[in-house]
Amino acid sequence: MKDLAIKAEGLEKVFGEGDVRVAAVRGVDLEVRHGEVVLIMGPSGSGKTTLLSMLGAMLRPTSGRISVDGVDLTALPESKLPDLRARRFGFVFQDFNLLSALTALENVEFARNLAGSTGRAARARAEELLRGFGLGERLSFRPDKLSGGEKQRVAIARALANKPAVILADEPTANLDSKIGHEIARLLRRAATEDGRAVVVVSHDERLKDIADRVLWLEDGEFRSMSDMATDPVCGMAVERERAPHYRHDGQTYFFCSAPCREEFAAAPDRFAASAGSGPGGSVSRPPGAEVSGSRHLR
Amino acid sequence: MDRRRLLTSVFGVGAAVALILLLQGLWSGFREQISAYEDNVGADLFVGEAGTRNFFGVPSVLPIDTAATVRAIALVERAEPVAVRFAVLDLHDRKVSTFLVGSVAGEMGGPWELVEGRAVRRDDEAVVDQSLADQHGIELGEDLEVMGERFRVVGVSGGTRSWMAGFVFTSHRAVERLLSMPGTTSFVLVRTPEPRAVAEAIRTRTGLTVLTPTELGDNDRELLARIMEGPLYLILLIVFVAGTLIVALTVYSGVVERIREYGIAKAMGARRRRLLRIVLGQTLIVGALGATAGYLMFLGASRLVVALRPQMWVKMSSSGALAVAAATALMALLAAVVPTRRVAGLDPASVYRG
Amino acid sequence: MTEVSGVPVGRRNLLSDRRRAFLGIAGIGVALLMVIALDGIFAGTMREVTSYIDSSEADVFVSQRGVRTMHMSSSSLPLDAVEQIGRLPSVRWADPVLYDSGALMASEERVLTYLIGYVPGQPGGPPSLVAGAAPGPGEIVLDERAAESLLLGVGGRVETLGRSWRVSGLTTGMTNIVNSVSYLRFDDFARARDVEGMASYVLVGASGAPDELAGRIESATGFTAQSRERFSAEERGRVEDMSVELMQIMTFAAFLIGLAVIGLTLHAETLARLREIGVMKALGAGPRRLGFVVLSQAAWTVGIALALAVVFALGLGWVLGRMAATIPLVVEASSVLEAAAGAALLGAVGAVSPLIKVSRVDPAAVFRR
Repeated sequence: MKDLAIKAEGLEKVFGEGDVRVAAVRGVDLEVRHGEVVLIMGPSGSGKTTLLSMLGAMLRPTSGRISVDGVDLTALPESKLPDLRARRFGFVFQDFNLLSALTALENVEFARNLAGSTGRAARARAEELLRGFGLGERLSFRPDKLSGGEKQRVAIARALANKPAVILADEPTANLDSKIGHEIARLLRRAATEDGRAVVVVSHDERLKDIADRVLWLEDGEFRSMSDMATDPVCGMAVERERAPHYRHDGQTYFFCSAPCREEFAAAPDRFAASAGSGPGGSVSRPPGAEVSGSRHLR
Repeated sequence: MDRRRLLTSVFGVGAAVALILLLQGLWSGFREQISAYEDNVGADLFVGEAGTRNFFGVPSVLPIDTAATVRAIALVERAEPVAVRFAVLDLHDRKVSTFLVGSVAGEMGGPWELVEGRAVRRDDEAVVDQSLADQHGIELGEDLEVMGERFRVVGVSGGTRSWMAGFVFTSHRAVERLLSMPGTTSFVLVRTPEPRAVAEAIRTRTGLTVLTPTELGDNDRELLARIMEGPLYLILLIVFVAGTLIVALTVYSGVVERIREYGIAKAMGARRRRLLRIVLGQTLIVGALGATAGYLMFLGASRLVVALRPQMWVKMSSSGALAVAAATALMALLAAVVPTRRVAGLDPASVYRG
Repeated sequence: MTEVSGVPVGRRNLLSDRRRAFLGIAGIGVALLMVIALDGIFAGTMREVTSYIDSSEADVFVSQRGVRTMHMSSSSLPLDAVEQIGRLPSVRWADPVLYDSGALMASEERVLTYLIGYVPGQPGGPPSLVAGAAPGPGEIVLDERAAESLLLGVGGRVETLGRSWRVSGLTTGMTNIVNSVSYLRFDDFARARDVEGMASYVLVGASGAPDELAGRIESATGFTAQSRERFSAEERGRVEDMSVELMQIMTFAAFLIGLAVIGLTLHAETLARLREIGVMKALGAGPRRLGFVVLSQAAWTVGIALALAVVFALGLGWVLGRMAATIPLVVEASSVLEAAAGAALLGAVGAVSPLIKVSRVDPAAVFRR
């Protein structure tokens, strides 16, 4: 078994006090190994972003511990965090977040600077990465002159510049079309498989399941067992099997978010049954050995 | 528009406008001040050496009996000699430019308004301009050293300041002595009910130059202009450019911040002219607010200047104020150039890019 | 410094929006230009005002008691003072000059002038001649610029002191914004002004230390005596004292204007890039690096502005020097240094608010949409 890259125990994040107290993340445990791609899915407001921020040492948990390659983040003083972020993490954002005044090359080179490498060496590494992603002709282009896919490739090159232990990606394919999205997904997979990085992806994008070793479902700040979840074939929402209205058709049970969706299904079951099967808990081909559910906090 | 940015720019434009107003005011003040002597001393005509044009700048030298000659001419009521020169006094380590005026005791030519004390009676007495006295702490009864000689200050005069120099009045004899020019004077002041005719008569009889106070004042103003207009206009120009740039910068930043909205408007079909009018409207607003702030700052500043340095007169004429208003409008117009180009060149399709 | 080297983010940020960079840099540049130009006009005027004194061969200038300056002043000494001074030890030579302000008139034109009456062959006359010869009886040497305004050359005739004179020669470097300096023979001057037996100043050549000699002359004769350096300084002080307040007001205003511009540029720039600052923080940029980004942007802004202001001022000075209307503008190193200090101050003050803003950015905000 490959080494543990991320180990998070009992993570909690509470915002506000008294009447406006909100627990964005409650008692989350997570282990990610080198070479693994973990996909975290869940509805908006489920705490995915908060979790990612904590994993990336940008937000201090209210309680719990996070270690990256054995280094306890939560015990580190504030002043050491930037350096840690530069050397051990690579970030990929939904909005790309490239520095608009810098060229593609400089954006990646800048990441090298943050880790203490400057001059020709930094530039060479940046160029190598970008060429590897097919951006050899775009080195001196500024972000406003790049397409969405090119920008995201630059962002991933930037994320990989310092050979980080962990890649944290927040909706990496959200603003991209299907073909480009696939490319990006593949790049992330390569980073894990070939370079041995631990990749944590937060996304709504179902296609990313194809590259994930594990898919976790975060809702209301807690991981839920994927097997507990189903997808409403009519509206696509994720629903908890336990409480959802259901309908049996052709020997299979379908779960719905509400009665109207169930009625709609019942009116034309064959139409909807064809597209069902994807989503949490639904049948989907997965590489052997991968798990379906994450750990769940026992209430 | 972002409030903080607007405030900063109004402040900056205000400073520029206030400075323009202040410079203009000081300039007007100088121009008015320069003829203070000839406007107030009570003479209808000034007789000077042939070729004299100014009261300041070029000394006129006449034999002192010229006064008697002029007095003898018909319709001349009074004719008194007055000896004038610049002198630099050393007052507590500062070089103070003053204008020495020597007149005959009791006659025309001395101070026209005494704020304190009395006029000069003896050759070792002096009357000092109020601004000089205030600035350098000269008191009645004190001794003043002028060109190596001591004078007792017996009076303080008001409104006796010109060409960046305060007046020091003493006796005619004393000035003759100080300048080592006995038996000479600078001008003969004439009082007459018929200035035109008398001037002609004096010219014919003596061949000397005769000028009215107005002519003298105008000539001095011209001299002043020749000396100071160049640098003044240079500085005004620089300040104007600074003000324009501030307005441009403010509106441009605002445009860039909202560039998406402009793009959307364009994509939705808003015509170029409409967008440009919006930008122009913004520069005019910033300009107008800046001008108002500038005017207020000017009022405060001029009050401060006059309180601290009473020798600096700040005069604001309505034409001056109008000119500055026009300049500010021009500032706003010019300032609109860069931001409008940004908007004009905007590609509405950019709205759709990720 | 390896911690903050690499891609010049601050500079890139500044230049990414060319138009905004131009406006901001130009705005600050203009404010700095105002200060440099003011200083330059002042310095130029000073130089010209003291040109006669500075270019003189005399080591000591003797004047009427209590008179320490030349322009806008009057001084007269008895002519036998020359002999008296000449007899003192350490005096190599002593020569009288007469001095007064006047006007030159020719072909309907009028130029103000300072008239010097000197003994030809002795010190006190024009430092050099670009045309013609020293004045003979009834002759005058003019500054070439003044001659130009009067449409005269060598051999022409000009009126002053109530008489007509023939232009015998031309000199240079003696015209300033107020006046030019013209030279007559001592005896001609004395006769024209009816001041025979008098001198305005006595120029003295010293064989020892000028200051010492000046002191000795003062004690021996009761007149005022100053070394050339001292005399020049007093003259400069006179101009300075006359204009110091005006200069202060204008410099202050210039600073305010510069402050406004830098506030607008730096602060606005930082605000516009707050999100990117957050990204940089997320990527691992520490407070030093971020501070450096802000400061380097400020430094580049005022640095380029200062350079432009200096170049422009130099150019302006050159252009004005070629024009007939003399606005003296001399860019001295001290003015540039003063402007540089002002620029640095502006940059520092302008960077404070952005630095505070930057320190407060929350890196986790990059994940929020």
